[in-house]
Amino acid sequence: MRFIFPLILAIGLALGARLFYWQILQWDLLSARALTQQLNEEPIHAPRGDIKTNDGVILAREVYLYTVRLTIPAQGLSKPQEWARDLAPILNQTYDQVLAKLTAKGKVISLATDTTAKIGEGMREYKNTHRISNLEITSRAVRTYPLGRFAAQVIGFVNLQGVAALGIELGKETELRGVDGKKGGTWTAFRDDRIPIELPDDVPPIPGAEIILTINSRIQRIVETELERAVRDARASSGTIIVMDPQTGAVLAMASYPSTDLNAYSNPANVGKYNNPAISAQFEPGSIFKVITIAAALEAETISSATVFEDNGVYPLGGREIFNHDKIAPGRVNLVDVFKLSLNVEAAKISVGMGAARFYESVRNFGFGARTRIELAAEIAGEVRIPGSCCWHDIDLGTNAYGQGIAVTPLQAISAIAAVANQGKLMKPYIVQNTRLADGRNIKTNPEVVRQVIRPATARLVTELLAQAIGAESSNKALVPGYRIAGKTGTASIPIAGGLDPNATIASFVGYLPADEPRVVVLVKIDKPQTSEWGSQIASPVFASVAKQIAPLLGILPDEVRAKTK
Amino acid sequence: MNIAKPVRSIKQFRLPVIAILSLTLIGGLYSVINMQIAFTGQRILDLDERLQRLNRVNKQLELEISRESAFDRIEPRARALGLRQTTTTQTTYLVVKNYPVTINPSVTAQTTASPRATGFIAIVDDLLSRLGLAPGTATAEAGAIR
Repeated sequence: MRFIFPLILAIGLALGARLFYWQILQWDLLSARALTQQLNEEPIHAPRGDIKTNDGVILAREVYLYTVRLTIPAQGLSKPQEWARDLAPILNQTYDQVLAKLTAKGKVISLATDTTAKIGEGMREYKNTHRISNLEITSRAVRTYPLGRFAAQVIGFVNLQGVAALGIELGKETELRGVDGKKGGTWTAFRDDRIPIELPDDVPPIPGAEIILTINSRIQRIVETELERAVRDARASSGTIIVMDPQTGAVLAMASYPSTDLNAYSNPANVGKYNNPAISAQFEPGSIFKVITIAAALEAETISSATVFEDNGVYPLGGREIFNHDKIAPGRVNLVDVFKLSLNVEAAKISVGMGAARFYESVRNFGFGARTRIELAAEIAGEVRIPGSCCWHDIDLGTNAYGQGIAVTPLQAISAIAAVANQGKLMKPYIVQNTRLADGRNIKTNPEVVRQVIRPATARLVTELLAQAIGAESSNKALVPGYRIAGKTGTASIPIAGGLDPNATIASFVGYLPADEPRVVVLVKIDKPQTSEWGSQIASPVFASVAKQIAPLLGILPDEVRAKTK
Repeated sequence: MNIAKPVRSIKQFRLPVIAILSLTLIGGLYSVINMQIAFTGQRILDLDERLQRLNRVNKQLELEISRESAFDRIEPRARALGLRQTTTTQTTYLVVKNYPVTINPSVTAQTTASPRATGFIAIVDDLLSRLGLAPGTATAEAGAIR
């Protein structure tokens, strides 16, 4: 008996010593280990911001897709008919469809794959209500483009790994992406749920900003419809149309054909179809460039509105000869005739008269050879060769004057013409109207003047010359009933290895209306048309068709009505 | 000789009993508070999750509305109903003289300040206008439109 007490005491002391060792001496180590096991941080995904048109149409949104699976026991479900009756309306499937799936035995069946949040959450509700442990519901965030190929090249896409490619998706990646949050707290041993022993201390995610484009869905749709029709009718290879507000530089529509469904970006057949030729493909603009040449010469005062030329149809330059189209020799002509007959010879004489330094300075001032800095990804600068640079020859000064031997993007071309329409002010083109941040701030894009390229008087004179040139022909296919327009056609040869392609052209038209108070500029470019090679036959009617539909949408009153309201 | 053990009075146990009871009470309170925190925490987590789920469904529904109201969906339906696109030549514009109207603030101020009615009638007018049953400031401003 007398040994019992000392024994208990000894055991107690030994236990106490051990406890002292673990609880006191090893406190830091063990508490750190415990915390590592209990505490966990899980990222909370920040939803990517929407992309919308200026009239509120959703172009891109992140949604969750749900997959619903059921593990059926080896002996099968006890009452599959009852299950089918309950699940069919939630899954939006027929009773028979669901029942057929439920009759399988001893395997995992998929009741719905990549289905909508409505169905997925409905199933989750059902699972929670009926406490069904063998029903598994998983979800994943995906970027979706509800209108398919609508404005596809403007939007770009985000792939399954969340990597943005092209368009606004890449151009505004920082704003759209947001910042992920953190889900903290004490977790169960399986790390599948939190133990609520304290109030949650999550760091909420900051959702991505909503991007509102300057694109108007109605105008974009008109443009896309007309472009597709034009390319098909002309049996052309492709085409581009841009609509711009010349006073601000806002792009109201930008479409290229062919394009394809943005949701099908993973299809190997669609590789390259999401590139935006309006900003990332350069072309030789052809005669639409004469507007720039004549505007520059009028500004430099090397010619005037009264200048008269003697055109014999050929102009020798740099050891070679420049001809008019179809080798016409119209004789005595003025500036209206130069535009109307699209005389290459006179354009070349004008640029040579200016001198290379002044001509190329003007070309640069109009924005050629430099990126416009629009918010879209993958914009290129085009190519303007200047004296002293590689591959420039004397004849280039002449050919550049009528848009050959110089490479521009459609956006550069329309921006330069818009400068003429906008009293000589070159505006920075933009396609993002507003950026709505998650904290409620709304950042509006303000129009930005790049520079005054030509004087307002010169701009008005060029507009008048263009309007007269078009108005002189009652059969001109660019004419828009009710409106006086200004514009210029282009028929450009396509450079190939060793020269120019004899069988293909780029037909274009760029114009604006109303001529006296320009509100909208439209550029139409059709590549390699087969039914006719001429811009006047292929691109002009498309301009007219687009312009007459969008003018009422933009509230542009016909000239006669406008005159009465003044 | 038997010596009787002294009987301990209840007073002697008072202090330990109070101490034990106090500790039990504090422990109980602590447990209740902890439980409440846990319940509230769980409720917040549940509500947060529910909110997220509702947001997901809501976003999906908004997307479907947007998709259904897109022009390429509406146009075929409109055409099926017999609607046709107008051309510029079919549009008739009405020119309204002095339109759009502008409000002259100085005239407005004069009008609202002008004594429309006095005494009892003014009080009745005021009461009725407060009830939205009589001409008030809006009408006076409308009268100032030129």
